[in-house]
Amino acid sequence: MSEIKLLSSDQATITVEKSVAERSILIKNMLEDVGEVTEAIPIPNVNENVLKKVIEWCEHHKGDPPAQADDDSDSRKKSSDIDEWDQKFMQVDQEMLFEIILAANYLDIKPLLDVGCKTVANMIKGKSPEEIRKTFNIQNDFTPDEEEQIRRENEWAEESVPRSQPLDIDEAC
Amino acid sequence: MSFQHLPIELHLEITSQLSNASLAALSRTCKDLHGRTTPVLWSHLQFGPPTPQLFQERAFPVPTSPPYICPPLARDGALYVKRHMDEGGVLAFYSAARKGFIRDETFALVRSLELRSCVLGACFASGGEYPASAAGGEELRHWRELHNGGFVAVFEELLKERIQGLKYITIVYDRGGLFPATPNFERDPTGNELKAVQKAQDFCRIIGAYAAMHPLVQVKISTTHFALVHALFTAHSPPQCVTSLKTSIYRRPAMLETFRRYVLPALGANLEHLALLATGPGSGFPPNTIWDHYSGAYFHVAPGVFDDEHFFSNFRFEKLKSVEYTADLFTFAWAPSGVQRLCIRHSRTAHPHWWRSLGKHALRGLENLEIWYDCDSIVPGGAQSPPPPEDDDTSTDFSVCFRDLKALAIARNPPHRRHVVHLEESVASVRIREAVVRANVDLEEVFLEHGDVRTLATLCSRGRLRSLTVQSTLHQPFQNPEIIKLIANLQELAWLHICVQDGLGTAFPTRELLTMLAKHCAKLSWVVMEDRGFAEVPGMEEFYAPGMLTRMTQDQYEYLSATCRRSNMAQIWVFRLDVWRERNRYWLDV
Repeated sequence: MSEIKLLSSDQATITVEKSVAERSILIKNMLEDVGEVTEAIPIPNVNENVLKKVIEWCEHHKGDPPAQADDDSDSRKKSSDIDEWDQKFMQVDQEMLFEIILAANYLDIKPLLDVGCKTVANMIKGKSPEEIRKTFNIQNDFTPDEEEQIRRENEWAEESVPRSQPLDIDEAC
Repeated sequence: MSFQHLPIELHLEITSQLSNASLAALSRTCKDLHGRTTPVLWSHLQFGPPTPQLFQERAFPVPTSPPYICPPLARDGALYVKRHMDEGGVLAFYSAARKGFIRDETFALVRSLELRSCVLGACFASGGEYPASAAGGEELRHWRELHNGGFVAVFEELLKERIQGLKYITIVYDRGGLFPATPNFERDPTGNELKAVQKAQDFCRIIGAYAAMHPLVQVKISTTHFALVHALFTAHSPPQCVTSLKTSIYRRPAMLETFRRYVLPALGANLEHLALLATGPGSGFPPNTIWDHYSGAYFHVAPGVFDDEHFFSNFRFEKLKSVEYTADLFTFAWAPSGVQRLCIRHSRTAHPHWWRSLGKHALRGLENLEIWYDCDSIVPGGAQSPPPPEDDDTSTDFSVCFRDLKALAIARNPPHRRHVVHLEESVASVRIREAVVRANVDLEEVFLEHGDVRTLATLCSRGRLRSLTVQSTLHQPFQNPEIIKLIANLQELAWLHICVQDGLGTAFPTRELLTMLAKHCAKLSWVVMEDRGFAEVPGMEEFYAPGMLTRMTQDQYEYLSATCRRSNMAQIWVFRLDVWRERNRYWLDV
């Protein structure tokens, strides 16, 4: 079982099984280009804590079929459901969640990026603007008039309001 | 790191999974997120909900390379992202546009417009119901205007002056979706359908004129009403960039002349998908629209006499990738060279003379060949049935016509449902199926009505199959020892769909078959079955062990080919081969 070393941005060296590290397309391509490496591969954008989390995910999913380069299918994007293990994995503080997403993007691990983005999307779904602000600690910098203008402009996009009793249109006309 | 400060491409990843309602809420949180979210929200305006049965059709599970099928997960709650307006949304949009609430810079963000049946025909599903917010004042007036087709003028103004960055327009008008209980005008005493079509035609004229002036705007139209196609193409000069046309067509001289004179010349340069279908069962259009009553009179369509060579041969379709047509209306004398997908729908079983005509063409780029037939349908036109298929010993050489097929379907659509004894498969049908399979060594996806031992033996011996569906139990190939042995070659197999019982017999997988699948087809996670009779199989008690046989989930359903999609989903089951493999890992030695 061959292993490689990864060097995090804070200079920590982590040893990992090669097949696990190759869940990252970035690392996989790098290894294909340079062949055998004995030195640690620098991962300058990812610190030790985040890199360990990413490796934990890769280890759990090492048996999964590899993602296709052109896998941009609707089904991948549309499904809001996340595997139970992944849900637990993503139960981290927001700082770590966004760092994992950034790392998955940098390391080119599409399935992990997908899970991360779905997690964030699920945190937004069904919430009012105020609830979203609270969730992500966002400061409202709109004036009341500006916010009202946007609300009126986008009203068509909001969930349907309850309907009244049937009305005979011909009669109404 | 915080949510607002994620790079813009990651915001796009996240927002692409949000519904319009969530996007609207997000855009109101702060200025920065408003700036990032509003272009996503406004990039696509879809007036009216999608109609999956008709327009999300897919002949094969997934067109990408293996492994393309997800393992079955607990995804019962899989949701679609709602990016369309229902009628409350349409009213809110219309009202905001009429009151001038929407700024020009916001309209400038619109790239794609999709107009569907309800707004085109000003005919909303809720009938007289109206949003509570419209209980008085201007909203109620706007609601009345909408029902009277007032959107047409507003839409014209928007296109003329305010929506400046448009790239795509899609028109979907489906008679069946709006008037399911009234298959023709004669049975619609209120004349509502006629009014709806007239309003839809008005929309199409506006879009036609707009597209003629903006040659880079791509237009797609899918409609059961040729009148809309007529309006789209004959408003002024025809649209320059129609990339997809799906419509019903009949052997009526005036209709054909319109098509030849106005539509065909405009299609040549940019058309990618062409579907000319007689409506009715198996056509992909709703089953209640077999007659065309636009002229106000019954019109019977005579099958098989449409001279397609004469009709099409003067036009060059340079970008045409996919062609779909009703065989009963065509002679097969014309087949567009260069297409990647050819889909032929017809009543009755595959007729040898069609195959012989088809075999004369050189379709070297063809990758998908789909022949869907419906033995139970009324022949379009109904006046006269074509002669039944005769047995023909003449072997057709398909190595000239097509030899690079990746996907092949020869099957009934809709599938056989009744519990009656099958007719024997004709000799001609067997020969044709064998000849096509023999001539195409790279077949990866195969959907057959009848899979006999010889055909399946040929397919299995090559080992390239990724997807296999056999719809009839007639030949019971999966119980044949030779096939069970050859299954070991199918190491790429990721989709297996078999009919289980259809009145003639049973095709439940045997223990031997499951063993071979579990041992050798590592990419196969489940076996899809149609338990049409809910029959129990002696000796296969573990088949029904907890967790082994589960109802198909929404996600799995999404991978199911269009022909097997139906409303009674409860009858489609998934045998968890992955679980069975895991439970029996020891003695399977995997």
